[in-house]
Amino acid sequence: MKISRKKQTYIIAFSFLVLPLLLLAVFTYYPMIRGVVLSFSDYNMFTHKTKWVGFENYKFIFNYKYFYISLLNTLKYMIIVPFIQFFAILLALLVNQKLPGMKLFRTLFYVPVITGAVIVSLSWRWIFDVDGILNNILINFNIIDSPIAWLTNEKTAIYCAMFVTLWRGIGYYMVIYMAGLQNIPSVLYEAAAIDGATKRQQFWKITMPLLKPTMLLAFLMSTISAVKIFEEVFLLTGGKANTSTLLFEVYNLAFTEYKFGRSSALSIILSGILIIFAIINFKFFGTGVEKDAKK
Amino acid sequence: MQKNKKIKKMIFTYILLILLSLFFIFPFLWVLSTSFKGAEDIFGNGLNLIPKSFTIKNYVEVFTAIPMAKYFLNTLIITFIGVAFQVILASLAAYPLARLDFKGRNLIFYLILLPMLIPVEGSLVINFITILNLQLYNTYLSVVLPGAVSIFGIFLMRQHYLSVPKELEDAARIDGCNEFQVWWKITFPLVRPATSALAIFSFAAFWNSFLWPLIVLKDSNKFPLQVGLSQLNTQFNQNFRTISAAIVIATIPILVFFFFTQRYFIEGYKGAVKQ
Repeated sequence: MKISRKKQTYIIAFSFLVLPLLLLAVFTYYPMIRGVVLSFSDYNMFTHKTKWVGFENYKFIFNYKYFYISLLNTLKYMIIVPFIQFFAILLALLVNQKLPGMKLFRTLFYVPVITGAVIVSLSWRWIFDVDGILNNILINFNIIDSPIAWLTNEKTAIYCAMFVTLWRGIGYYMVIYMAGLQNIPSVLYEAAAIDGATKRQQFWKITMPLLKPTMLLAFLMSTISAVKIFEEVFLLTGGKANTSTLLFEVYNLAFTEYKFGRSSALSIILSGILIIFAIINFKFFGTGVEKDAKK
Repeated sequence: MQKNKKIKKMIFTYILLILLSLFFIFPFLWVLSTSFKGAEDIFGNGLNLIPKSFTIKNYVEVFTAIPMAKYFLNTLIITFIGVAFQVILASLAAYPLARLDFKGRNLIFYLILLPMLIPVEGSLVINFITILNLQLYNTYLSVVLPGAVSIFGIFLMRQHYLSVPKELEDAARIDGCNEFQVWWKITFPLVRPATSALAIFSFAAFWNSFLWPLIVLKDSNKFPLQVGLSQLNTQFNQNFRTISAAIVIATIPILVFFFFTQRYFIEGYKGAVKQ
């Protein structure tokens, strides 16, 4: 019996797709749905029993002191987004020049990205330590009289974590902007130069407009990762000194208090916030693409 | 005159670049110097980057006090399984989405992209429960499975598959290749640069992953480097010289890896940004 060509393609396509889709279903789509259900339930880890509790978990979250602390910190964290973008663009422009040794500098700027959050946070933890180098420098230059406990002081701890995230993020977005810059056809600059455009005009009329899609993508990515910040907070401060963030509380509720339902309710709220920011970003992103298409 | 100005600008650029690189590598330099310091060196003026008393005692202590070699091995196992999964599954999934014509193709593609547009964080708790139910808690596989399919990877591979000329495929079909052979012998080898880029990206991601392994591993003998390192504080009772030595040991392999693969990082993003 001969199977029709159409059917054959179908079978082939799905034999390629079955394993990836199965894994996506189990670890990506199923959690989306199950997470909502769990946020309305009480889950017992030992008996695997789920009990429906209605809005109890949400009620708990909205009365939970650390929800507001972590929400505020998450919002504070977003201050770093425009700073990361600004410095990343500057760095990308700087290292995108054709000068000897540029590859080395690119590598050096990217080192904090590639070494990962744990190594970076551990290194900075000792810089911010009471006996650490930061206090030493500040005392030596007579800026402060006595050492400050940067990471356990409520006034400074969250800003230290934010600084480390900023410092770690710049190199990452620099590479994205470099890729964006290198995608701009060089003929455009050549034509502009022939028409007598100055370097400054070239930057504002060619580089910036054509970098816009990259910028919006980078903004979206860094907003989302600021809202989802966890590692620096966990490793630098352990969530103490009022530094907890939303994802930190999701982790804390689930894996130190074993309140999976409450943790799920908080992650649904976190997802809601993420979706709102994604929509805002995509509104800009969408218009950016439309304008490009019209050209 | 013009030339003079150019040289001035170049000198300014280099000074700026050097200062900026110091800003980015200073913490590592300090950790490196501290790792060679003796007990008498740490107090007092912490500013000295060159140790007064040079010692490798701290490194010896790292290897005798914690299973550093075991952490390395665990990281390698997790990373290699993870990279293999990501590369194979993304290559498989992307092929029909780019090259085969069948009903529902676009629907599946959009469905795959959906989680990229709607970032959902609930998966942490649910995936933990799933891992418990699958009896995979405290196994290497549990670390790898939730990240085994990368949506970015499927997207990247699809973009590159799309650029392969149709004629090559047709020629292979005429020569009697079946669809699997067309993929394996023609299309797959032609997108090697994308495969390498994906392998390198996922290598860095798995090597540095922290939160998920922390959740699903209980036995410290199975800890990857990142989780092991994060627990050092309690083990060494705030002895920063020893912790520095551990940080240095953990940093070197990823730096060496990056040194050899760095061009792929830019190339990979170039492909992704292009849209």
